[in-house]
Amino acid sequence: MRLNLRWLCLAVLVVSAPVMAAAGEGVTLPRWDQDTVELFASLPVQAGGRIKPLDTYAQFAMLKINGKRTFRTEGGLKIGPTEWIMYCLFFPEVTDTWKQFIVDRAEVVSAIGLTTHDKRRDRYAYSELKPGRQKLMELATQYQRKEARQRAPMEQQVINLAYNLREYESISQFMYFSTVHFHPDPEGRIGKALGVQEEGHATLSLMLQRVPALLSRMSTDKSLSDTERRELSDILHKMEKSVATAGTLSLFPPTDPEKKEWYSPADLLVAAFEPGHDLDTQFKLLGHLERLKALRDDPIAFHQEVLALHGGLKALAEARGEYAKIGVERAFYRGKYLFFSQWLYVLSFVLVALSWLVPQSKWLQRLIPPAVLAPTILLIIAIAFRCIIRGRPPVTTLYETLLFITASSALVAVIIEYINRQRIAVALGSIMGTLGMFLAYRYELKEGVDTMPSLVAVLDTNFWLASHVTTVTLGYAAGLLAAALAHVYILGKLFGLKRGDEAYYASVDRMIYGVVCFSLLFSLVGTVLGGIWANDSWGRFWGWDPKENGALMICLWALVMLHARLGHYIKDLGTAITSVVLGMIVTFSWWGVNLLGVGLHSYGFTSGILRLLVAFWSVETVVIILGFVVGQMDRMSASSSPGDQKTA
Amino acid sequence: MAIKNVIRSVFLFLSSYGVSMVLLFLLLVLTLFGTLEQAHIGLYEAQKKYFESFFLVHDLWGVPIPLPGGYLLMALLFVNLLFGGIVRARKEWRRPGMLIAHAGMLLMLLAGAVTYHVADSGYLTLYEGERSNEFQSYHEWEISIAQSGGGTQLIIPGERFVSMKQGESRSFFAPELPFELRLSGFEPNSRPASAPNSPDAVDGIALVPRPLATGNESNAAGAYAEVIEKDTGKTQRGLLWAFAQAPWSVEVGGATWMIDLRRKRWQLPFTVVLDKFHRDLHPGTMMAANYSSDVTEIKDGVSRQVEIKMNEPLRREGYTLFQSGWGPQNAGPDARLFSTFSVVRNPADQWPLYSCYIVTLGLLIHFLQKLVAYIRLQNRRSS
Repeated sequence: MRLNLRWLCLAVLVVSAPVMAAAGEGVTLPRWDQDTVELFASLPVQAGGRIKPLDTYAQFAMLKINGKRTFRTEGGLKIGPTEWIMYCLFFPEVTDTWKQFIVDRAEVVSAIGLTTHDKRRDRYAYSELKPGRQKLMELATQYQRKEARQRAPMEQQVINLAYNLREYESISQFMYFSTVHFHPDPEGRIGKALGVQEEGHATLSLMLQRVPALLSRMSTDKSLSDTERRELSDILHKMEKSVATAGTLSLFPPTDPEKKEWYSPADLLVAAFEPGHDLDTQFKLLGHLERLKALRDDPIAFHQEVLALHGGLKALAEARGEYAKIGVERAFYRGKYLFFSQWLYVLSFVLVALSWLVPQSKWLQRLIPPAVLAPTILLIIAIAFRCIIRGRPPVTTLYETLLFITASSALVAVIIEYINRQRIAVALGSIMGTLGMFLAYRYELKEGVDTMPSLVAVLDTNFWLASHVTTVTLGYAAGLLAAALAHVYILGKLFGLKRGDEAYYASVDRMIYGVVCFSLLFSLVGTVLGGIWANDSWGRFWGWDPKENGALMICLWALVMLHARLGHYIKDLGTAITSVVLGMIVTFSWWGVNLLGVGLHSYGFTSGILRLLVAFWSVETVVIILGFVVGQMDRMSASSSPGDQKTA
Repeated sequence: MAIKNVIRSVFLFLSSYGVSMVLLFLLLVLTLFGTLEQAHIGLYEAQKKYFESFFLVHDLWGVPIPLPGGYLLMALLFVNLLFGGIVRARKEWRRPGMLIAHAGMLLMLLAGAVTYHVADSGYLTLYEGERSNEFQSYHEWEISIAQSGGGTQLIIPGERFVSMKQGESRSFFAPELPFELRLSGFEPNSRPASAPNSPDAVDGIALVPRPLATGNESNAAGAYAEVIEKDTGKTQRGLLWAFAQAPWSVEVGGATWMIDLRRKRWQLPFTVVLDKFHRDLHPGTMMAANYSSDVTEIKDGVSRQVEIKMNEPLRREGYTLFQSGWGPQNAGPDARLFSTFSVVRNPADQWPLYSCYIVTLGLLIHFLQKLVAYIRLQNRRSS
């Protein structure tokens, strides 16, 4: 009875769901119901060396092709990554006409002999790009022979577009195998042996179950006629052809726990003809996948097939202990922690800005610290989720340094606020949180690859990742926070904020000094730990590698600052100015050295970052100059009021 | 009295904050230039020019800037640290942090000096099933002169010939050698090429100089060699080239001598056999998840099986063997593979680790004391 009710609910749901009118060939797109979408989203798939939900795979494929995680169809329907991949898989004739390929420069389109849209940056449909495909691939091959650093931006775009086109094709043509039917002569020996008399035709999954055994029986059968041999050979040829485009999604976990690689339909074909594989369950599950395309217009039957496919794949993955983190990863992405954290930081910044306009408002002042703490907690939750999913410490990639530095600098800012309640640190925490999260978002968008990738061999050590990388990254975070505090000092003095309130500036100075000490402690220990790791993996403690040198420069500059302060060469304003330089050195070490393209640490995305860095360094140079202007102003006011001697 | 005053002033100067500040700043500038320069001249050359030198001239957009080299700066920093951070520093039991941290840094600089002067580092490549008890340098050259079939073997260390200038020749004698070896035309990077008209050519082949490669490992040194028999004065000419397939062999007095320009070699106190090399990929990708080598280490007839993998080297008798490479890169699934180990002998190997403990302890004590003082101050203010 419960089952019937469920059926009824489902039927109502499907009937009431909006139906999208497709742009192409009069096909009507169904709106998938959320249960089906969630089942599909949590199908496990092996990609990039790890097991992930299909939704994660779809997200990054979509991000790369479309530049966004959502797509609005011409019918006005907003769809997410899983729905997107479902439409691409089951309605490719429609998705081919969707304007979803982001092209940043129209020259790319004209270079492959096609008419461009009016806008320089626009989205194109596969059907629009297809006539230029051959030219695109030729150009991409030609440009790929060049070293990445030598390529013009347009050439890189051509390569990207070629990749995106291929990626899309690998998804949209993936289900082709399910449309191929085999028609052995039902009266012939082969047809009979394959047992296709009743159906009249057979699908790939059925053929995979029966052909290999038949082949091993018949290959030694001398009585096989030439016609029969040809029929067998045609079947084999057709089978091979049917899976030519079905290699992208490795959805089928092997039963053998020793075998690490999961099977795509194409891999199943290869494995079917190798001895010693037990693949019956996989073939049956392939059957469920196969039927989906034919059932695409029947949501109830479609749902049932997805349910069976999901259950079977989940059971196989669970038997290998490889399903446990699928749920965690789905929860991570469903929770949208990073998204909410980003916008809550923006909100906190709005509150900070309001508090500057209405400084006397007590409730605003009380509201700001929790408003900064809330997104920081969300961010920490997100980082914790990522650690659990990967079984790794928080920082293993350049992207994760962004998240970690944002979280730690905001957290340190909140702690400082708790200690001194000056409302300076917390305001900076809000600004750094907003900036950090936007940078992380932009970076993810630009890269368009899974931000939880498999790690290269040398990084396969949780001990060193946890100790060296985390420590040195905390050093970066503190260095940036010190620089941010220094801006408050310099710009505050310049614009007459709290004029004459020396206690206020002394307090900012103490904060800067404290944070620089914190930065030195973590940078120095982190750098030395990095050396010790290098000594264990490469046999040398120090190799003058650019990344090592960048970290050393942070330590050296912090030491110069502290010794200069101890020796009374600089005072509070000097500390502020040198802290701005510290911030510049941190960004050089964090991002700048990657631009050199040499050394052991040249990982991560760097193209396009140079402009941002140069802009940052230019602005900071102006701040330094302003710092000297402040010094001059101080001296002038000191000389005009001899009773109040104060030097920088 | 005056001398005492001078010594005192020198001591005060060398231990001053000003000197620390200037030295640290110069080291920072040097690190920046040395880092940026790596993109042009490669790591090896940049390291020699900036970090292991006494003086250098950096070219900044065409403007020559003279700078003290890394070696000099670090030596001065050591003195400054010792005088300022230890001898002159206030020694209060209640504030031990800075003293401890400075002592740790001294140990670090000392480790650097010991590594630079004493450590040997090189590599050892073995195919599966092969064994060896020697490793060779990445950068340094030597010439080996060996009598075929065993017997006499002599080594001419690289420093005796790599500094030879163009047009210069040097002769090498030894009582046990029946000949004199004269070297000329040494080139740090060269390749043999057919040049029948060249006056230097040996059998129509001459050494063509090439610009130094940014990756020093790919430089192939070469030189012309003359063997002049002691008894007869008979001269034979040959080519020595680092990447030659076989040494140059000469007949002198009925014996065959092999003369080889090669990477400098060192003996290991044990023998290493590569049993099997493993390369694990992340499933479904071409990305390596791990490299490891099953190795048998043999010493005095006793053998032990060990595994050397990324981040887990073999440390034995002062030598450390690290998994550093493998090949051939295009090997098929059943091909015989080779594994390359970095080999290091460094008495100061673990000193940075101890230094790290000491510095961390010192800084933690110092900064925590500062933090507590700061919080107390804030609390006093707010109350």
